Amino acid sequence: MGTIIRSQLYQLKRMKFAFVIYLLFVLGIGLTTITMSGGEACEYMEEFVLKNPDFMVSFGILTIGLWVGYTCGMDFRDKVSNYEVMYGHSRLQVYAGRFIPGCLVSAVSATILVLVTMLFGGILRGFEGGEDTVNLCIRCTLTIFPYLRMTAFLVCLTFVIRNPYIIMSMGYCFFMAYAVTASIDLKMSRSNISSITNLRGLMDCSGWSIYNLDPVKGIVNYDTFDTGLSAGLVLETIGSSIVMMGIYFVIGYLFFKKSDLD
Amino acid sequence: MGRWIVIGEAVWMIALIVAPLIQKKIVSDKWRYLYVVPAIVTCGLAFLVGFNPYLVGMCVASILTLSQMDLKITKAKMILSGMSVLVLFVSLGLGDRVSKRIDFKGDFELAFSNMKAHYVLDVEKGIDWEALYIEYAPQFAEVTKAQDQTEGYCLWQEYLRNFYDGHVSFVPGDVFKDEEIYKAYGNDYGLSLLRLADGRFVAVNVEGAQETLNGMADVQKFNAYSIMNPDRTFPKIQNLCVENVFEKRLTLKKAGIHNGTVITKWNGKPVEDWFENVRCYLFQSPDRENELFYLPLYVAGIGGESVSIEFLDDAGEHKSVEAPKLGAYLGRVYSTLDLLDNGVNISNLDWQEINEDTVLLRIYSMSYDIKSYSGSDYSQMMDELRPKVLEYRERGMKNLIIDLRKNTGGSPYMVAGVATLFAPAEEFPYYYSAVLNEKTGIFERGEDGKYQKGKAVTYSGEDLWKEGKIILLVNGETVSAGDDMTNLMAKFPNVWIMGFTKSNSSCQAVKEMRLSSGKITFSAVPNLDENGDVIIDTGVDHVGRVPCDEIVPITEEVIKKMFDKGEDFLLEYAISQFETNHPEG
Repeated sequence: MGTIIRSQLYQLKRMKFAFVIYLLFVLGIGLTTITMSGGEACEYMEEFVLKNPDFMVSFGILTIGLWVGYTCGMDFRDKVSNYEVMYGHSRLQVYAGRFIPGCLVSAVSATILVLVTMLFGGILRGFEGGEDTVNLCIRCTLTIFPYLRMTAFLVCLTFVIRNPYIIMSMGYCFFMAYAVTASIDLKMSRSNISSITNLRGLMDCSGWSIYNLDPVKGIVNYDTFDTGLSAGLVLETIGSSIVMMGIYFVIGYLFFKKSDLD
Repeated sequence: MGRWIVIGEAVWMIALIVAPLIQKKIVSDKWRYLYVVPAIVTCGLAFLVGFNPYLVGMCVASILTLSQMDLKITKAKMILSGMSVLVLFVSLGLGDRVSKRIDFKGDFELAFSNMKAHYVLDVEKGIDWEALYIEYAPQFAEVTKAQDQTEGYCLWQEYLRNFYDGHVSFVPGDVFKDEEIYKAYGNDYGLSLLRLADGRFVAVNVEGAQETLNGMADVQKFNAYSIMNPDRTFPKIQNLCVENVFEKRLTLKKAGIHNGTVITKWNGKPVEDWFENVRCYLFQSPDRENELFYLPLYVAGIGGESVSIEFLDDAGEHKSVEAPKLGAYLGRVYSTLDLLDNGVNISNLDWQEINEDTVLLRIYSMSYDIKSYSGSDYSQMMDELRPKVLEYRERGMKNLIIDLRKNTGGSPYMVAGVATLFAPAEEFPYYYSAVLNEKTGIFERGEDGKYQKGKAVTYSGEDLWKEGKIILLVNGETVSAGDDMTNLMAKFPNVWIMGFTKSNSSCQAVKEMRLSSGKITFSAVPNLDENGDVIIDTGVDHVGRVPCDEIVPITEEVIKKMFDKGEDFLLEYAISQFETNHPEG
């Protein structure tokens, strides 16, 4: 299995096109952060992150489908997996050798985008420092777990559908699903089992919002935030990711083990 | 949504029962996709929506389906598919139950913690948060176990009445069934009750007692609001064709009870002895006099399958009748309040010429358009009103009635805009906003317990109705910015405020909070006077602080005109006051 994983990573390194697209995403985030700073009067990076929670994580969702399609799906276009099995690797090794790097690479790259967004925000506005900054950094880092869950789901689907381009477009669909549910007020569960609501739960630190009456401006809105992390949120995030990844692993393998690889 | 996905999956799994038979004839590798689809749908549901009560059954059914992928025995596959369908239907039933379950306790905890942190009148109203929690938390826990929606609704009403604030209310969500809310207001026995100025209680809005009802046919004369019908208008005709129901509705008429009949006892006790049994109001009355005015109305819903009503007949003899329950009382409450409290039926900010000397301006909502509502600029509204005011003055009209009855409030800046037109030509302070701690979102009090004064809102009068008289018509449903307007214009020398009651006395700005079973509203932004005191709202004395120059007494004549003839007594009275060269203002 180690050999398969190494070969997948080697293959990935040679995918210059994928890296170019990723860098374009990073650039896109930077530009968007700059253009957003004109509209949002945010004093520090922390304020920017708190007021734009959905922006922070949505780019990451967009890239997940891309990476999973490349790492797990492209081998279905030729007979690489078949040769691996013929060479002596078990189906489980072939499957896990793609599942693990597929999940890790996608989730890590998506999380890096979240941290890059923070970095851009900090470069443009400066860091306020203090407990809020630390809490926000922890929250952004924890997004790796819902991303892992999301990628595991896509990897499982890849082994069922066996078409990398459909998986890449599904990544885009997840991005749209997140954007739509963020922009309209759906009666959605706040459960941390769903990766979408878990992501939102990690990034959304909204506290009490109130307004005051101003003789000139009329109604002026004020939002407060609470960046504190509860043990429940952390444990649920990590726990549900591990459990759901296991479930997706099993489902995908059940399908893969009888698939015709020739 | 979860429900429909479960049904869809069940249909899919029914298809999987017969699929193995077809697989025997058509051999293909692609059959495996059929068995993995339910698992992917289940995972997708968990992925997008999170935990859903239907998910548990779907997971079990998906596992049973997945396990069929490797099975060769056709019968085993069919049995497993059948078991999956069974599991799904069981989960459908359980899921329906769980998804409709109301978490009264959870909602109470959320509402309580937020109100404790952000309700701005707790000191002024003497709210003891600990005592409230100790009293109501166990009751909400009980009602959550029992899942009694009527009791839960009543409990919310009782809890929130401790705030004596017209801005504090619970609005039930879709999860409440309409019938459960109707039950909270009791049963309809064919009448409502009001108290006359001399202290006697009389029947009003009596079933079958109207002299005329816009010339409608006999069968439709019976208002029959008592039918459990979400539509508060006239009932379906077929309900009236049932013989015994028709007879029941004539009980009071046959007994000789009509609008104005004095009711001496209700179900064996004097009417006022039932006040403490009233659990739900349609709106709060912070002023105690207002509350006592409306309480008899709700007493008329208290009782079981029938209620014994003792009354004085037209000859002054004591009589009694056993009035049967006709249905839900809520419809009659609305209808009685409409007859009692409705203002002139024209559009907001519309004019009605009463006679050559008198004109009426109707304001039932302090909102002009969407653009101005969140801002402070009402110049467009003033530019529309000003020429009309000047036109009426030029025509020689001296008397203006501003009808604020059932004014539900809105923007304080619109209040200032309207008041500017009629205020004397000088600068007036309107109110002060309070200083907000932007980090915590809390309006902080100083060491003296008062909120810190922020920016002042002032306005300068144009005195367009100089040397004319203005009467403001108000009632207990004139609330919020309606209260504001009344309070403001009370300071003008040519204004006279009248009504059957004072206005509501609730004026702080409101915050709405969503709960799983509905929403609550409460006063969350204080408005202060020049001394830093909160304006208008009642304190622990429950006495409204909005001036009212004349409380028009409810007499037998008023009852006759309003409930028998459907006339607007208060408006006619106001017009007559101009004619007798009164009020002086």
